[in-house]
Amino acid sequence: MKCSNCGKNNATISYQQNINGEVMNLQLCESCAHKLGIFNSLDDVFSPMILDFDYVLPEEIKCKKCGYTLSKYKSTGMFGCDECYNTFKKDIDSMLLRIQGKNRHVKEKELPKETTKETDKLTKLREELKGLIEQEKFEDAAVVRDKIKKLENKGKEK
Amino acid sequence: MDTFEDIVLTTRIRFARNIKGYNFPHNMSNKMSKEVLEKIKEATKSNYTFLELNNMDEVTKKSLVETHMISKELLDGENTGIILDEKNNITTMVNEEDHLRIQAFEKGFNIKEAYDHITTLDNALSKVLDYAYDEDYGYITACPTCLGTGMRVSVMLHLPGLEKLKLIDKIFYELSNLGVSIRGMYGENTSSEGSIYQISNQKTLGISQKDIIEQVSQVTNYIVKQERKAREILKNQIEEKDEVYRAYGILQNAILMPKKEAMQLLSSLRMGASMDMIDVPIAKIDEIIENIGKNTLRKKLKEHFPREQENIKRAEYIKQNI
Repeated sequence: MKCSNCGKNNATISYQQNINGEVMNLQLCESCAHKLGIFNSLDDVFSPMILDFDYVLPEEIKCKKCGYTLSKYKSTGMFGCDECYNTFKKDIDSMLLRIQGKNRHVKEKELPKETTKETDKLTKLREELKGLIEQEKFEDAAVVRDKIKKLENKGKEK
Repeated sequence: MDTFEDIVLTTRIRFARNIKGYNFPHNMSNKMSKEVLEKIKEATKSNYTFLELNNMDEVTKKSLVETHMISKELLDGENTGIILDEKNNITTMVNEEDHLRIQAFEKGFNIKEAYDHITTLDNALSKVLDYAYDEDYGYITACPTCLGTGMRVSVMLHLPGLEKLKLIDKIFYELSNLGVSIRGMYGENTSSEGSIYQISNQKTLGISQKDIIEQVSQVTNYIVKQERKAREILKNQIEEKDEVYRAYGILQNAILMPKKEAMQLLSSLRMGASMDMIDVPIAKIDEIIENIGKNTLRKKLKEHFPREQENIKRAEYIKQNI
């Protein structure tokens, strides 16, 4: 149906006026309804959508160091920096149970690799020392001997 | 030690590490990521080769992606780099998802060697760089799925037998219950070109490195046994023999060879070689599989051929090397 005012546009608004029992039906398009001051547009009618709202959302916790939030983590799947793991520890602890099944790191029981390497080094140096003494290169031997002592002491400190 | 050459192509271990005090790469300013890059460069200069991706040509970069030495994501990052060792056992990505993604590679099934190499570099770096480490969480990583040991052990497996007997889905299903993930290695997404799959540990936290290694080793052993059983069943089928010799013939004679087809044929050939049907060393076939990516081929042939010639060049390369 065409607008009963302009006759051009399709009528989208049905308007009924009742003044002292005199009823008038109008089929109008939005722009004419506007012009006639009958109707202002849905935006105006519903604005503001929420009339009274005095609850303020608490601000999301942010990482002190990098400013990252948990919602950011949810969209990227990554945290922002190492400090985030302290900031969000509580949430991370339960999250880890879901994704890793556990939430605490397990340290290696075996000796760190470096120790075995140092033992290797010691064996090599002792052989070298033996060779130098056999060749009567005592000055060089003294240097190697000091190296061995240093390594041995380092081992004891551990 | 059996390196399961008939089934395992490579073993790799990856450590995710970050430097204390810096944001993770995805959350870092250009200035900061540059600082991290310089720091790591300084730390590795004496014993390793350090390359900035900015200074590398496109073909080299893309070839590294094709051979799975670096990720596609590394190419998109800012201030990214790689650390290489002399023998190509180590390729470390700098400023990818974490500041450091240390990776060690070995041919065949050889977790021990890979572990030795990776811990050598990791120990050396940990002395110079202050790693982000937490008593509760272990090594701190950008993504919590890598937290703890930061370690991922992966084994690349060739499973044409199980694929032919339609048992791959069963393996997928069973592995998911064992904390091990499996995915197709070549081709897009999960589809697998050339029947090559990669298994790796899913969990990195609450489990020791030793146990992760044990877990992946056990699963590898189990799959290897099953694949060998499958090949034993297929061995005497005339259709299988036909497929192997047919593949051999095409690879030796084709003039045009698209990558996907090459992968399929090389896969058949590899299976045939493992059954002593044909006399081509498996190591040679693996080398070809690694080199037939477009950019890797360009590097290998030292020739920047246009894209239209890709299939011709690939066919020639395979012919000459098989």
